[in-house]
Amino acid sequence: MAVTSEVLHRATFVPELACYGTVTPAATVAIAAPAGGIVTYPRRFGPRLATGEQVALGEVVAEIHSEASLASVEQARIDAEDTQIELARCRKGDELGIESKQNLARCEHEARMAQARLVEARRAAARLQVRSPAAGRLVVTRELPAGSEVVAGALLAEVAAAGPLRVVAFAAAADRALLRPGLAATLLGRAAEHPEAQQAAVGKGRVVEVAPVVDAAGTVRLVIELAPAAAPGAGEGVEVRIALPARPDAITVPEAAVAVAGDGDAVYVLEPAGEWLRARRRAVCLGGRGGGRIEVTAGLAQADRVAVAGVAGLGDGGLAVEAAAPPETPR
Amino acid sequence: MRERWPWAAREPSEECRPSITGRAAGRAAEQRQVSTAAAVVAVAALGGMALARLPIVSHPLPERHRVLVTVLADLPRDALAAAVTRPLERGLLALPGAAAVASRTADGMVRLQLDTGWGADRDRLLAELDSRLAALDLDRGRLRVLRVEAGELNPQPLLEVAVLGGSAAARTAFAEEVLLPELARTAGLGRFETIGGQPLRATVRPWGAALAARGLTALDLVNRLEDLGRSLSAGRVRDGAAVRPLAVRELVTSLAGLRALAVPVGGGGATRLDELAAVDLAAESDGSWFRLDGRDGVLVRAFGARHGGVLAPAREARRRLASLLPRLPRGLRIAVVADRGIELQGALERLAIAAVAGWLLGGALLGFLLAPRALGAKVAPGAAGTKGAAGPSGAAAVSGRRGGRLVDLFGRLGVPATALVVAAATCVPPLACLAAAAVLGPAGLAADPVTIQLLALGGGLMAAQSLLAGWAVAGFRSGGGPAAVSGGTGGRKAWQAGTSTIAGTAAAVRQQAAAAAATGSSAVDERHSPEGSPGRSGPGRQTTRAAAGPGARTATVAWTLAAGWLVVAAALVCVKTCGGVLDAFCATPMTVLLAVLAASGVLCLTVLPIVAGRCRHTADTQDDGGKDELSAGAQKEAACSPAWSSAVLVAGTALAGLGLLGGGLLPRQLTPADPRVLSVDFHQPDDLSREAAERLGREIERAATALLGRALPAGALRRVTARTVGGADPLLAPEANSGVDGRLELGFADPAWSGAAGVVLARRLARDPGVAGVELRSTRGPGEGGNALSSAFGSRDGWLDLEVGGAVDGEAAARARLLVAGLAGRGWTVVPDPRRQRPGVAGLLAVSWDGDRLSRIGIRPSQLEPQLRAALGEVYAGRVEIAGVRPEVRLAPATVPRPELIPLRGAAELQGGRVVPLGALASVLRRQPAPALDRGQRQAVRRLRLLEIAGRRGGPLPPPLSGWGWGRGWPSSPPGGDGPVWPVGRAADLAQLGAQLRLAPSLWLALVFVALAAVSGSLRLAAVVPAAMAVALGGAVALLAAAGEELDLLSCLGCVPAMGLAAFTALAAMTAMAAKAPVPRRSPAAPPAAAASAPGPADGMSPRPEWCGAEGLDRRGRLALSGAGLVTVLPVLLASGAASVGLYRSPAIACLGGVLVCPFISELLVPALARLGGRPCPLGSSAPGAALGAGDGVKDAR
Repeated sequence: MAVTSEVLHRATFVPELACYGTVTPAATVAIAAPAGGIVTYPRRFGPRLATGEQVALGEVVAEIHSEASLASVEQARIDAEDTQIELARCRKGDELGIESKQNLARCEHEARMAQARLVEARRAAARLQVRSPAAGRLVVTRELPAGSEVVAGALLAEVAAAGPLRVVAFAAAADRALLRPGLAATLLGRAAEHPEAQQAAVGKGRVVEVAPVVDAAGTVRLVIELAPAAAPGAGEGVEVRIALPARPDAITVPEAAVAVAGDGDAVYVLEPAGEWLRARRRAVCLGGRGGGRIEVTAGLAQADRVAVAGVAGLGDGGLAVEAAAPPETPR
Repeated sequence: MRERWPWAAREPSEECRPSITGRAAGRAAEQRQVSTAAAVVAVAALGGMALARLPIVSHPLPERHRVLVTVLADLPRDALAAAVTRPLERGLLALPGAAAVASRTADGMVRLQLDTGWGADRDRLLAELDSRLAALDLDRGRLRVLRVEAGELNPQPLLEVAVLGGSAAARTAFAEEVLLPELARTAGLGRFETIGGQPLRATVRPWGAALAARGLTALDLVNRLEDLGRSLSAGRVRDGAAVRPLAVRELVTSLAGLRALAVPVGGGGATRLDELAAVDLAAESDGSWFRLDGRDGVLVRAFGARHGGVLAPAREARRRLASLLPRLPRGLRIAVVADRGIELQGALERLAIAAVAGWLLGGALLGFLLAPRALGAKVAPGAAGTKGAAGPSGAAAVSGRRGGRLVDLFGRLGVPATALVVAAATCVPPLACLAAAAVLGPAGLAADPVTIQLLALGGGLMAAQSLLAGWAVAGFRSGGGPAAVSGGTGGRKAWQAGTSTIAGTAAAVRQQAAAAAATGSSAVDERHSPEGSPGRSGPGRQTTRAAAGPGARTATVAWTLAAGWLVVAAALVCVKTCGGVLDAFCATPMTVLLAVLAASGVLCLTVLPIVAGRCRHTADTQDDGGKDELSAGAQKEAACSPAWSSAVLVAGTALAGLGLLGGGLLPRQLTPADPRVLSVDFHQPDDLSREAAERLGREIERAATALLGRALPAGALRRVTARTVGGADPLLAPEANSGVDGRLELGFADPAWSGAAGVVLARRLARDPGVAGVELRSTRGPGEGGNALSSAFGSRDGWLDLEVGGAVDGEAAARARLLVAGLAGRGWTVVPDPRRQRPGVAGLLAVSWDGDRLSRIGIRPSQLEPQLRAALGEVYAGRVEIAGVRPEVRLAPATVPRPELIPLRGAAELQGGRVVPLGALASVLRRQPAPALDRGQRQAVRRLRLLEIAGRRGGPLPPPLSGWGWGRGWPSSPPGGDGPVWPVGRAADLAQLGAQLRLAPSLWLALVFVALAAVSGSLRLAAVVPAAMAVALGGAVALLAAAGEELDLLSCLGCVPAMGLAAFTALAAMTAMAAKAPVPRRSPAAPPAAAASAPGPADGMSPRPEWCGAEGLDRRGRLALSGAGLVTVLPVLLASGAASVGLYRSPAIACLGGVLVCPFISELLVPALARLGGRPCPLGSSAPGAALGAGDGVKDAR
């Protein structure tokens, strides 16, 4: 059987941990309708808000036309005017001495209260112009066309605040011991320029948060903060490869070199046998994986020559030949 | 004991003489010449019509079938073996036609394979199988019969058409939508198979990360797609005056529509399908692929319908293919990869040329033999039917008046009489073939090259029959008569009387005798002509040359023909007794040969006398008796000289020993091979994915062809056909299909280059990491140089499969290890059964659920397993209607880097509506599965595969194997092991053939001995003929060995006509010897009884049997018998070539080897055997005695 072999050397090996995560923005601020009414949008937004629109801090993103608010302002205005008239009458009576000081003080108080209510009503009416609480991009999960009537508290949009994106991932509980904040992570996902490529690297980041508890489903929540140059869009699912602490002087073999046997994992070590190689099966203990290789924690030594391709046809004690040897020619 | 055979010495009395069929037939034909001629013409016409309608098939083998039964059950391996495997094995073995059952029992699954014998009734088998399966208690252990597949083990694709060029989808669309329907309209074509088809299909490949981000699993996509395009009944609505059913369907007619399909996500929203998965139109492989000369293609295989023949369907299919050419889309082209019709037509054309050449050569030989005897003989116009010509014989006169008009017509045209006889005798073989076709055609016979070839080789026998009968007729007419020998006037009159009928009556003979007596020139011995045999005249040596007359001559000819036919019939009985592959292959050709030989014999006894009966010979003929006597030469030496006789006997014994015992030394195969075509099969590791295997195979092909281009001189390599077919054999178990096979077919100008190229390729491919094994062998399968017959015995003919049995699996494994060790030391390449998982790659990933966690969150594994299957398996869900695209939507396995990341969803309320990775709920472990339990012969077995040694061309079995088992029968003790070993598959056929070839010749010779002894009553006669046959067999084996051929089914079949001809020659030689035996001088007045009671050497002469009145074949005639076989075999031998599909060479060589020793048999061996019998030289004048049979008869009489 022709095989391809590799001589083992000790080297620093960085194992990886893979998990799935979802890209989320740095912060998300909800924009809700302050009051029920008819919603309208500024001209630049068109008939509806759209996901991805950039908004500035304090920019009006919607207006709510509420009849109740208008009525409240009008009522407050009328009340304010009435109290002002009453206050004027009381002052004139005081000058004439036909009103008591006490009554004048009461009118002044009511006038101020009415004015305050008017101001409040006007302020409330002014709040129907919905402004962005933060600079960022709109995320609209439920579109509300202009003219729609909304109730108070209805979510008009979310503003994904500008800033570094984050990835919320869930790792298996068994891997929690390997995780800690500060580990580097690589994101794999659909590249924007090559949508068909499913395993393109789309960004890098660093673990910033590891949940101290394991949830009921057996997962541990991770938060990875991405570098500013990261490209994935918020909301996308990505594969997260977390680089675990490097292991110096590790012996690694390609994953294809590992054979499975009844008593565990094994690799085939090649020994010279004349012009051939003799394959000896050797049981090994495996460690972490990364970059297509797997760490062998026990069973192999430096300078061992192991079969890394063509393992399928090998058996313990079988003869093999190096595939890279040049073919012989006839004659 | 009453003697019934002409060779017997006891003279038969008038009343005890049996009715000789040949003579009776000849007499009847003589008396009804017009009727006979009309019957012959009618039979020939019927035969011609039947021949035109005869279906042509590629081989005479009947069908055999394989049934695969797969049963699933939730039981472990051992429990399944007890509950399912063993009962099913018993049930399957009890099915009609079942030959062998093999099974493989793994955890949860049983797969049984039933192989039937040749000619089993498939429909009945399946019906019985249904009842057996129905009897299983399916409820127990939750059994489920997954699949029952049945197919022919020897499928024969008549036509293989490749569609090349263009894109994969275009090729597939053309093949499936245009080519296949066009071919399906061809009458005579049955099943079709498409290999390498890659139809376009809408494919959805989910992204694991996208699913996880939206809280979905692959099962959610399956559930969403399932209803797509499916019509759901929604009740009935009134539509005008009618109430119509209402169907609801979600229709997608474009890929964009499929991509935009809304998939509900958690929280009440929805997302587009292309946000979750890659949605594309992809060329989907059906698991098979085909490449021709490095180019991808689609192969359409057309199989013949039952009883559909080959030539007519292939011709019609070619016509339809030609009509497709103008409709070919741009960029596509059609290539006929294999056309069994062309191959068969080429083979038949060569056979026809060879047969006609042999036929004409036989006619020329007959003319050469008969011409000197009837030199100058003419058909005298008006002579026939006249009293003067017929003489005083009333019977002859009557006979002459009844017929002869046709002959008279030829006579008036000046056609020589001998020419008529020669022409008639020459026409006998084709007429016999037509007669046989007239009978066997309506009976359902199909013509095949093997049968036709056997008929061509058996042409020697037919020519010998014609020669004997023609010689008898023309010889008697021209110079064989007693009067011609004596030269007296009375004798001439008697001869003239005798010429009127070959089956003359006793009255005619008496008249001849009286006429002869009146001249005083001859004496007639009434004892020897009781029923039409004219007496002998003249004393001494001349008496021995006298012929007994036409009646005895006809009897001799008839008995000789019957004996020859009996010998071949014994071969058929022997074949039927052996059964198995020998019976399946040889029975039909031999039956046809027997029918043709019988028809030929009847025609010889009826047509030839009629044709010759009207001849009036006007010229004196030479008496070559003296010359023949003088030319006895070596024959005399063999009979008379003890040293020479001993030498001849030793040579004969050596040849016979070589034939009977030495045949075992020849390499044996089932079918012959063509050494100029080298087939290189490479096998790739079982664990490769389809794409990786295909890519590796392409690289191997490219490297191999480039290497050969550098390594071989220009012109050495004529043709390279690289062909990779994977997963195409529907009859192989899936385990057997897991490996990927590629084949390079290399055609060489010289066989020597084949070996060199084989070595080069073996070394090159052995160093390729993608190649698990390399086989090099001469092509025996389909393709140029191969033949259809080979493929009938199994496509993997380079492998020999063995089963090593044991009471338990461990015992079988231990025995298998011993066997491997024993064979490895003998230079064999032994590989474990490829269906058995190899130790290095046999691991699997086992999901071990975390039971505690699942319990805590309230999920059962059964809820998660469908999600796993949907994520990892290929699922078809939903239908789209897109032009040129298969309607079913394929959900490919989800893209996950590691199985631990497969998203699963359990209790939504606990997980917050999100999914969790598999690794959180289970451990994924690399495990070695429990090995499946292989059973065969109703016990545990281990299967091994022997590879024919690389570089061997022609495939003779290597000495280690031929010396073990193959030569001594199966099962046997293997080297290094004590357990039983069984061959399976093609190896079983080969082993069975080996055993049968050891038994069949001996059985045949014994049958011939018994039959001849019973019919003739002479043990010596019965012993001489088998001895001659054994010598002929030795000659055949010797020539096969000298030519480097192997012993296969075809070469064995070629021995049959050779041995038949040897028997025929031996009979003729004995006839000649007995005819030359001295006859005691008797008084004409002596009563027959007294003469019979007082034979012996009292007068110094041994009695001569009755038949000796008939003149035996002279030396030239005897040699002509062998020559007849030679001239019919030689054209067949010369017809072997590339286009003859490798069928003809070995049988022609075997037949030629047997024919070549026939002169030795007739001229040396038979006289030597006569001397061995203690009899003096029958030909020597100084050593009076009886011939072989005569002496024996004398002894018996005493």
